Order: sequence, then structure tokens, then C-alpha cells
Amino acid sequence: MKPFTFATGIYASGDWESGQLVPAVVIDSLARHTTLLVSPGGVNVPLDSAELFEYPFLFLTGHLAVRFTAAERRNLLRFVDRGGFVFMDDHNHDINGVFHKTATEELARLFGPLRQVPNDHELYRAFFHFRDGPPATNHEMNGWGDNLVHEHLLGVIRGGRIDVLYSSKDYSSEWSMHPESKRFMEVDPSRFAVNIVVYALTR
Amino acid sequence: MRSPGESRGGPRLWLERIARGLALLLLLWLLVDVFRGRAEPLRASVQERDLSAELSRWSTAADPASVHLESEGSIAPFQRDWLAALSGAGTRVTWESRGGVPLAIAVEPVADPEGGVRAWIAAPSGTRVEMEDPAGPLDSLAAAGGGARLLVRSSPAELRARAGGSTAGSAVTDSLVLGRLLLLGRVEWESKFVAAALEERGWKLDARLRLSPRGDVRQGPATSIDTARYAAVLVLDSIGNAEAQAVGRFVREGGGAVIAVSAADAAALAALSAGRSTAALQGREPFDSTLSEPRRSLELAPIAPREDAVVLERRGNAVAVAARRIERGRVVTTGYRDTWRWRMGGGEGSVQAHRDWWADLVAGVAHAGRVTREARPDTDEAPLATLVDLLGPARAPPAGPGPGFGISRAWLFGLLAAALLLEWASRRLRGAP
Repeated sequence: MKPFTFATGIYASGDWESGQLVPAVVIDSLARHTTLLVSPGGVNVPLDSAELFEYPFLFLTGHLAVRFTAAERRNLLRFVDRGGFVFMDDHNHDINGVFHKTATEELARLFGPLRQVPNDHELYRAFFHFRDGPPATNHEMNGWGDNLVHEHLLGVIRGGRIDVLYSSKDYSSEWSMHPESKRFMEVDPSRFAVNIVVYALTR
Repeated sequence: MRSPGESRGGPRLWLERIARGLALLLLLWLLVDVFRGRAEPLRASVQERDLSAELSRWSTAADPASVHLESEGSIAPFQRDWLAALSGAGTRVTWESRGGVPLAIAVEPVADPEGGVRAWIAAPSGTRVEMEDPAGPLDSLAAAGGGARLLVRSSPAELRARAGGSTAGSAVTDSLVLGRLLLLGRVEWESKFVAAALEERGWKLDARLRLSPRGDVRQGPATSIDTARYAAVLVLDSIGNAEAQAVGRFVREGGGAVIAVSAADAAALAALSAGRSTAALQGREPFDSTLSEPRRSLELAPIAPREDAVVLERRGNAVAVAARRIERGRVVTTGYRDTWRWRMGGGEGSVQAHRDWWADLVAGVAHAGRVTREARPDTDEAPLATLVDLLGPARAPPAGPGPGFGISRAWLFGLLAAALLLEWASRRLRGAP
């Protein structure tokens, strides 16, 4: 049986590789809190490759404009239609930045307009309970960027299931750390990643 | 004193005597034949196309002592029953088949939310069997190994098979009441995609999947595993002893189980499984969607089947899927691992194919309540076998003397008249009275 493998998507435009520490942190959280079989290392997988379909959980991030190629669009559409789950996070700390504009345009073009995920959605109860919806990040709270808390995540929701989850909250920065650093923290900041993965694996 | 004519016509007199004697002999023959003919019982022989009319006649006007039927294979059930009644009433009934094919059919509803009817057809190997439902032709099958089978998704109330001049038909007599499915194992891609496939198919599904020491992922109530609620249990990963025992009880009471062979290796499930796993054969990565047999891209733990198991699928010499019966229930064991890769990475139609494959596994074992349908069309499931059962095996008509030992009465009469005419003419020509 293949273990769960955290896959980061490689797309031709922008800086797909900006969250290279994220996989290790998420994998660490999964191993700490669950008994899931987890691959110890993540993989980077091109969106336009057949390899993409070996990893039904796909993480996309970046700071720059996102323009998928035709092959990437075709694969991404097929990936989601067949049951794959995409988590896309804006690695910027701003509002309406170039990543957000272009990424949401691309997703809307492929899957239709993104909708707000209600803050009482089962995603927030899939493992840990987040009563107020998506946990706020330090960047949102400290005024570094927009100084505003994004109240909701966005998503492509079909048949009651979130197929594509989009975040402007910059979890890519929040979870960019070495896993050992967590021992200095009162609360594991990547707990929400466990919810996202468990949701993807069970819905 | 002899007349001159008599002395001249010595040979003529002898001819007249012979003609007279022959006429007397023929007259006697005819008399005997007439009387013998009245005593001889009526023998009837009939082609199948005339059978209906003859049956009526035999049962009303005539009373044949024996009846012989030349069947072309499509004798109607009521005609067969009528012949059996004649036989029961004392008429000797024999039959022969000309062009009829031994054919039988049985149909059964499929335990699948999408419905469907599965037909098993028995026919000599190599026979081309035409299948049809009340709306018209469906498919054409070549019988192999003594039969063929067909899955019809449209759920017709009746199916007919035709081959040569024979027709066999069977009707679905029950409707199924399907329970839910229970998925046991751990949180992983396989459980997610198998659940998705079966829910998309229309199954209602409960799940108990291990996730962490904090608790499991559960869908549906934590009720006991019994046939009142569940049609089948799918065990995709190892489970605890108590749960395994519950699954065993469930199967013995008539429930179905689909067990991944990796789960079956655990002692608790080994007694249920159709076999144990052997060294795994690696699949292809990434999934090769160009293969004609897509499951060849999947990793396979070949099954070493138990003695009482039936192999359902092979990859080369390796057993991929096997099944067995345990008391009132059935178990299917599959050696494929990570079938979700087929759905994700397969070619066009792979989502449907993956769904169909899992639905077929479940349909093969699922327990289903049955409700008998009130309307039952008249069908003829095994016409030839029923004919043999009612009338005995095919045989030639009983041998017996025909009228005039094979010479018709008209010929005998003609010969008699000719002899008398000859004798009379001879006498008149020689002037005798």
C-alpha cells in the first residue's frame, strides 16, 4: 500500500518552489498526530506530467503570477475530476496581489468561480476542531502585510465536497520552519494541515 | 366329351384358372387387409408446424394409439404439456429433433444499486446464441465451456436465448432489497477511492477507518455487523480480532465480504479469506494508461487460493481474485493493491471502469433481501430438458406393419380387377358363357 505523499506542484510560471519547508512540517504533524502511513519526504511533481496522478494530494504555492500552460490546465482538470485534491496557498501577505488575482482567475477558468468555505464546514472538524474557521497566521496578526485577517478560505465545492481549497492566509510562510522548532511553540501551527490532509483522504 | 375350343385352348384355360385364382387370392388379401386395418390402431406422425391442429384432432376426433413428433426445436410449452397429457392418457408419444439445440437459461437480479440482470446460458460449446428481451435483440454470444453469461443493465423482466431453432426464456421472479455496505480498514487513498466509487454507484456506505489514537473516522452508526443492516463488508486493511470475528459471523449468516489479501493475512481474517498472499508483483509507475488490461499497472499480491476457493481473475499464472463460500455467505479476496491508481491514472473511462470493477466484486457477494414479484411471465427455461423429462429421450417411431404389407389397397384392387377382366375376356373370346 502506498503511503500518503505530500506533493508540491511544479508549474511553468511563477515560483512554485517558494514553500520548500512546508512538506516537512506537514509530514511531521501527520506523523505526530495520526497513524497514517506517511512518506517521510515530499515530492515535487510537474503539473503537466502523468506522475501527477500518483499523488492525489497536491500543494500549490508561490508569490508571482500564475499562468498555467494548456497541458497543465488539462491535467489539473482531469486530476480534480478523478478525485484529486488541490490545496493552493498565496505565499504573499497582501490582499489582491498578483498571485491571488492570477491564481483565482486560473482556478475559476478551470472549475468555475471560487466560493467561500463556511467557517463551520466539516473541514474545520476533520481532525482538530477550529471553531472559528481557518486559523489565523502570524502574518495576518502582526501587521506585516495586509494587517487584516482573511475570514474565510475559498474553494471549488462540487457535490458537497471541496475539490480545490484556496487560501490567502499565507500558510506557506506560517508552516515554513524546521519541524524541530515546534518544540518551542505552545501550539503546533501546522495542526490545520492535518485537517486538510485528513479531509482530502476521507471525503 | 371336350369341345374343340377346350382342346385348342388348353393354355388359355390354364390362364383363366390362374387369373381366377389370382383374383380370389387378391380378394381374400383385401378382405384380410380391411379387417386387419380396422383392428390395427391409428398411428400418427406430425411435423411441428402442424402440431397445434393435430393435437386438437387427436384429443377430439381421432384417438391415436401412437404419436410421433418431428421437432425443429421450438415446440411451445403448452404443446409439450398437451403431449405429456396424451402420453399420460395412454397414447404412446415419441419424438425426434431436427435442428433443435439443447439450450437452457437462468436469470437472476444483480445485487447492485444500478440494477441489472445476469443471465447464465447453457449451450453446446461453439454455439452462437442470440439474446433478446421483450423489446428486441440485445446481444450475440458464443458459448464456450458449455455455456455463456450476460449482464444486462436495463433490468428486463424476461430474457430469451435463441440458437438454431430452439428458444429458451427465463424471467426475473424476485426484486432485491439492498442493505448498506460497511468499509473497514484505515484512512488511506484506497479506502477513500473505493468508498467514492461505491457511493457513486449508489451504495449507501458506512465506514470505520483507523486514523489515530484519538479516534477513528466513522461514517454511520456504530451498530453491530449483521445482515439486517449490511449487504457486504469491505475489509481493506487489517482489523481487530473482535471486528474480524463479527465479520466472520456476518458471513456465516449470509452476508458478503470483500477482503484485500493484505488484510487477510492477519490471523483473525485468514480463516475467512479465499487465500493468503504471496510475494508481490510490482505495478508500473506512473500508471500506464495504454495497457489493454489496465490492472496490470497495479501492484498485485498474488493469492494462494484455498482448496475450496474459485479463481475469478488471473494475471498470467498469478491468481488476482478468488472467492469462496462459507456456510450461507460468500467472500471475495482481491490481491490488487492501491486500485485508486487505476481511477486516477487510467485512460478515458477508467473512473467508470474502476467503479464497475468494485461494484461487480460487491455484487458477487452481497446479501440481498428478496421480494417475490407477483407478475411472472410464462417462460421456458430449458425446453429440451423439459421435453426429455416429460416424454423421455428422443427415439424413432415404433415399427409396425403398414397396410397391405407395403402395397396400397388401390394397387391390390387394380390387380384384382385386371385379373377378373383377363379371365372374363378370355372366356368371352373363346365363346364360353
